[in-house]
Amino acid sequence: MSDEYILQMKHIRKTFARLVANDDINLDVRKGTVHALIGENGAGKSTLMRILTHIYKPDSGEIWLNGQKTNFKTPLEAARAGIGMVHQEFMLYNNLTVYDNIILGFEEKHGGIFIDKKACRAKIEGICEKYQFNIPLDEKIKELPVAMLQQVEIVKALYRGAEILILDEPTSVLTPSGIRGLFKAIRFLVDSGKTIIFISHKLGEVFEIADTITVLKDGKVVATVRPDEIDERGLASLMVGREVILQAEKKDHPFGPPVLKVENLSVRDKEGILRVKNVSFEVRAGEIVGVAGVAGSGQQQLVEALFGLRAPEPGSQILFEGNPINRATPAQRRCMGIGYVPQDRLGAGVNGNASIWENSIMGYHIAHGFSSKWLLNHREIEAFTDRIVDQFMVKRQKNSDKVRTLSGGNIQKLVVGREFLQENKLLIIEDPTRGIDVGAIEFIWSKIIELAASGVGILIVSHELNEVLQLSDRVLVIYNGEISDGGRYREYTEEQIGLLMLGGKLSDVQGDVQNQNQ
Amino acid sequence: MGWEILKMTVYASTLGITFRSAVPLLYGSLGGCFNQTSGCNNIAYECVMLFGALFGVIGSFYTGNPWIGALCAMGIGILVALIFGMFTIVFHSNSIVVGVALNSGAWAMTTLLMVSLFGSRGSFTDPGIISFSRLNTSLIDKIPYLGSVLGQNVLPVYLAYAMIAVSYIVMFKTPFGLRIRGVGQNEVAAETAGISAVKYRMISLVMMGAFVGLSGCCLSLGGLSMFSENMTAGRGFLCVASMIVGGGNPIKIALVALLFAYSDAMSQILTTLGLNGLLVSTIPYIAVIVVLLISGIKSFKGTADLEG
Amino acid sequence: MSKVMSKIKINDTVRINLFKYGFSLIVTLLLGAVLIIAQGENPATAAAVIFDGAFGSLTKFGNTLRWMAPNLMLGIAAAVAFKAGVSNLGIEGQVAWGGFVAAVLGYSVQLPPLLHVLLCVVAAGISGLLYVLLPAIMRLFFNINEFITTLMLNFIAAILTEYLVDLILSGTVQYSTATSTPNVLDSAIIPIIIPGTSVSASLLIALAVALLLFFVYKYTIVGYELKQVGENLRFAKTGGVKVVKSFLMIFLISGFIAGACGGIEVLGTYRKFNTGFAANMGWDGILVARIAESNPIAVIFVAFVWGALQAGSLQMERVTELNRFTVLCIKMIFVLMVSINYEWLFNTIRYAWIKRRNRKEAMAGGLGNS
Repeated sequence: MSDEYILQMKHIRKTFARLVANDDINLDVRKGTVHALIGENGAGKSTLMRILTHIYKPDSGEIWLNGQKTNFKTPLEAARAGIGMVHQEFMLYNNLTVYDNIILGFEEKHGGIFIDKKACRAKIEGICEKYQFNIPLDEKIKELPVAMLQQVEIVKALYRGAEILILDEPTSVLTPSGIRGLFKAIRFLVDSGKTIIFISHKLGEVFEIADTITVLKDGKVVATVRPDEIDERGLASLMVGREVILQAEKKDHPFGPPVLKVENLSVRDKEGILRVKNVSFEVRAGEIVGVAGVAGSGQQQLVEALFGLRAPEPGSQILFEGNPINRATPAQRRCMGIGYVPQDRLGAGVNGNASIWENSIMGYHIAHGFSSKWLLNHREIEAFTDRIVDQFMVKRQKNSDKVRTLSGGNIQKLVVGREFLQENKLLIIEDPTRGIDVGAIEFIWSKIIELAASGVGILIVSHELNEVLQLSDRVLVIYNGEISDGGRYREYTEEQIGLLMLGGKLSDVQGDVQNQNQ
Repeated sequence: MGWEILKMTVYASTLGITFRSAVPLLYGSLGGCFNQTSGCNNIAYECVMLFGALFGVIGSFYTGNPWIGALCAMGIGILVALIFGMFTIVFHSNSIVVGVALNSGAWAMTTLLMVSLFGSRGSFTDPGIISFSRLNTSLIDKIPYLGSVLGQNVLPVYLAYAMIAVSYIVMFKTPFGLRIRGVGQNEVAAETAGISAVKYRMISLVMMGAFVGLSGCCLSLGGLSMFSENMTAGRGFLCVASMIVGGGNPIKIALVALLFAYSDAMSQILTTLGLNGLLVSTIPYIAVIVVLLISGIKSFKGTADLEG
Repeated sequence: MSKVMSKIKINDTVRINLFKYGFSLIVTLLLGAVLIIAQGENPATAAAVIFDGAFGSLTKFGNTLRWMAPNLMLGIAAAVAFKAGVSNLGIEGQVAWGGFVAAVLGYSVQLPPLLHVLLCVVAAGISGLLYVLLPAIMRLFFNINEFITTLMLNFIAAILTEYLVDLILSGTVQYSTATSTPNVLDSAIIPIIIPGTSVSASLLIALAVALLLFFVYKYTIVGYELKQVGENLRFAKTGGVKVVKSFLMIFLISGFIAGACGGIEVLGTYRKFNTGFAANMGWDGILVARIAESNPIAVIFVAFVWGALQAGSLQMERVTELNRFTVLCIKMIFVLMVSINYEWLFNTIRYAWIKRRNRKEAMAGGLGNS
């Protein structure tokens, strides 16, 4: 029985414009097992799962369920057939009770009109009892902790009759004890005949929970293995190994005194969750410090605190050239000589509806100003804009063109150019090359190296491991809000850093890495 | 004098006026609360109500039957609501702009229709307009005090109060109400549960049109048998306000609507006593602001901030 | 081929705008014609009468300009707010207070002519500004959307000004039927600038405000920041703009202009404060701003057209069987048509079309392979 495939995805292909998200993917899932799906960001995991839940339609390929080819038209039909998903961003209604959240869309009725509260409740309680979940049905979602919300999501999927349960990065929001609880629940579900598809990029977890592991890379299946056939290191290299690796040409030069010094920095996010935990590091003049880490490890909050967009917790200390700047506004920081390239290019980097020149002077107009305090000096503006356009080779027709008419690479060059040409002493750069073509990547890399050579301290926070490794004089690895030392340039291999990023065992990496798990 | 005024607050006539004048607000806000809850930012209540008032008169005038008038009012209400839906849901227009335009246009359009149909400006009264007839409520009338507050009203008045309970049940006891609440809170989540936000918004929009139209008809056929230019005079906005303050709970919404009606009644009574009742009539609006302020204190962080 | 394509892409915004206004105008004219025919009149005659009423003589043209002034000023008040993402629906209330304060100061204070007008208009502006302070604070500190608070304050303003008029006239809280304050003193009247018409210097003030705003947005750093805050708040925030300060400033400027408009209307046209004089003025301003897409120069033109239609519709009512409300309806149809999100509509249609083509190609390719 256990060898029977409950789900088979055959030759799935899905493209978005020119991007091939899934390329001839085959996935066979046995009934009553935990099947892990791992891969880097953009490897195609989410797309594949959206195809499975029929949110997306594949360009070609087939899905077989219980040995029969399916022909679902809507996500609802897929859900009715037993495919349930727990999304990474919970699909919950904050102001409704847990009970309402679970039954919404799948209500038991009596008299054809009214919700049969008793029947619904009995069904939920039956599920909770059978799978040993303990959730408060009458509390509102907004009053519950995250770990509880995940249980609600799982119960919701079971209530809808899920036989196959897809968990998308389920541990990313959980504490270690929460993860233990989840794993217990997963075991219990599997033992009672449910099938779990477990999406993750944390290797340790996958080894702990999975019966089968499928590795995706660049939209293709790289390998399908059992945990006992491979070790973490082998898996990591399967996951992150690249065929073509861009090379940056680094120049040797001495570093100056520290420009940025961070001591015991802790930061909470909007929901009040501690996302950066007691972090200390420094960036010296002329040094490139790279922060590697899996998405959502606290990078965003770290950068926001460094640039004054989010207040750090008491006891934290951020020093710029030796002066504390904890309470300085972004405007003040810009005036001191701190530049910032945000990750969300279109959301925070530019105003797409405004012209190129309007985007060029944002920040510059505060830190450097124009000859008049009140008036825009169009000659100065044109001169500065032209400098960006020329030195960073932004392809545009005129400076009054709207920014959204430019390509992604050109927008990024504009943002980078704006920050690089302001004679800053410290630059905070998030994902400098996300979603742009190889030529533009190499160009921006060379500019970063050039800038560092001229004595600017640079902090790069990137989700591309290769980028951090190629550029950084010193590598820091952030995992779950804590920073560990990833060594100097080329001190450790990509696989070793990759293990650290994924919360792998520290002993596998040589060197003086502090053990931060007290 | 002070004592007089104090006594007035519980006069049977004050409460009687409240009981009657709350009716359009009740129909409007209870009928609209589903649409509001589903996440439509609809402020075109003034417009729908005005059209309802006119078409109630038209229907009643040409057929001699106020109930056909009511049906006409509901029909035109649905039509106008669908026009709102067409622009905001289908064409992605800004809902505030569409609301403002419809509200401003309604005054013009209804006056125009009144002039071309009945040839009169300002207002139209005619013995041919048959209002709803008062019910024989001799049983209620016999109760002291309460009788004069509740008795001697037309059927739609009593139905409006029945609607409080019905709306509550629909909102909280049926899948429809639950889904409406879900769509309003998290559209994406609702879509993953197979619930089409557009469909539920459209359905609730039709409900809004029907009941707000009916509420307009209660203004014109509820006792006066007339239509006059801009006769809704801001009641549509009061419906919007009671929905926002009531926060999607029909009982709270009804209470707010009753508060509005009560302060309106108070100012009317004060005026008949030769006193200036104007200050009293600001109460509903001030109440809205105070309630919002109280509900906002929770999110007060001590500093001003804007989340982008 | 690709060259042509790229050319079309660059001109997309222009093309969409041309289509938007052109299409809206055609639909409006058609529906307007239907509306006029339904009332038993000839649309061409009606149009001619409207045109004559707006431009037929100096006096008539004067009426157009007279109506243009408040539309322009309030259009600017609304445009300032919308441009920065603030929904100031309380313009009407701010106008009412401005008008009231100007009227009271206009008859109760004695000052030399120019100074008197200045005092009244500035005081009117400040009263509008103060009236928008509460919604602003509620938005910035308590995160309460200003749209409902400003809306409620409209009603409160209308009632309170009426109450105060009663109080002024009767001196007691007894109910009176008074509906206006006494006339303002001659020294407080904004003079007529074209003799024989009703065009007062109000129009110049309104034009000056529009041009000033245009100048601020185009040439000053403050204007640049305000524009960026409205178009992308996060962009402005990471760029170092003090967004809270900018937001507060927007509220106050919008309120000030609206209040001042109430003042100039009272001093330039009515010369006293009539209760309810602000009714619907604010909504017109919002619609004018919306049609002009919050561009100060475009607001001038739209306000002019709005004024011409207003003057023309009054003439139409005098000369023909048609009601002036016909023009109001036609205006609203135009607003509705312009409100459609054409860019989104085009992109959706284009996307669907591309998808269909791709599917066809894929099918053809699949057939070719087999």
